Amino acid sequence: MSSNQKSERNVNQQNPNPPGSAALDERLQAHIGTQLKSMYDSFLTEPIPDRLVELLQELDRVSEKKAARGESKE
Amino acid sequence: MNPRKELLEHIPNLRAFAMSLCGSADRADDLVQEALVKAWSNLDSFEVGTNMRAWLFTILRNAFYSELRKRRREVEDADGAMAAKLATHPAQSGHMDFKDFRVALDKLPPDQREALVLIGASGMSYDEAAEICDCAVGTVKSRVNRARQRLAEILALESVAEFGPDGTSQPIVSSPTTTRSVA
Repeated sequence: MSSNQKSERNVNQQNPNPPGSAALDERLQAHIGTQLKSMYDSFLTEPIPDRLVELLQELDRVSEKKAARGESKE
Repeated sequence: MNPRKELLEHIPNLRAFAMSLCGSADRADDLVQEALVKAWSNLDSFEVGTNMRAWLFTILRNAFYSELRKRRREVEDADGAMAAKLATHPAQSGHMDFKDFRVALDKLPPDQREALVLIGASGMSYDEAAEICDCAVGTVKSRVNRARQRLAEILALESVAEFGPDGTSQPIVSSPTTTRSVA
């Protein structure tokens, strides 16, 4: 009497959507939203690095020279 | 307003966008620099009164993608290196949560990361984001959704990993025998 082959495959090993996953999802999404915003805001408030300030000064000088030579298309 | 002056005012935003896209301050500043030079030399083609921020974001974004194409091979194995680099500098971002988020964000495909940052942080509208990314509004929406979903998966996995059990312990946990207790 070998009925051991009959062992049913354990289909419901794990419920992919356990109760409370919707709430977790909501909490995660709120978390993602605030993390993203605070990351971005922290970048926004960083001082502009010297190399960019210098670049702008350089660009200004070039534009002024151009303008002085009457190359500006304004 | 003088467009040149206006351009200056957008630098913090441009930088924040660049930093969000590429995760490295050096690369971000290279991108901002490139975008500024391009914008500066094309100021004539900018229509005064139109959306300068979107215009600048478009220039920066295009610079980002051309750089990405150039160094695609490097970028492919940079994910791990970037994560390791960030892990050794937790002070950079202040708190741990933030660092985890950054690492997760960097795992997203660039088009999804870009859409999420534009909509979720930069304050751009869907229309503006679509214009910047040169795609349909619906595409922006689906990229944002996929980005949020993927981030949730990554962050949820990380919180599960703290408590185990994960995939490797699964075979041990699930017992193969369902003994029939026949009385």
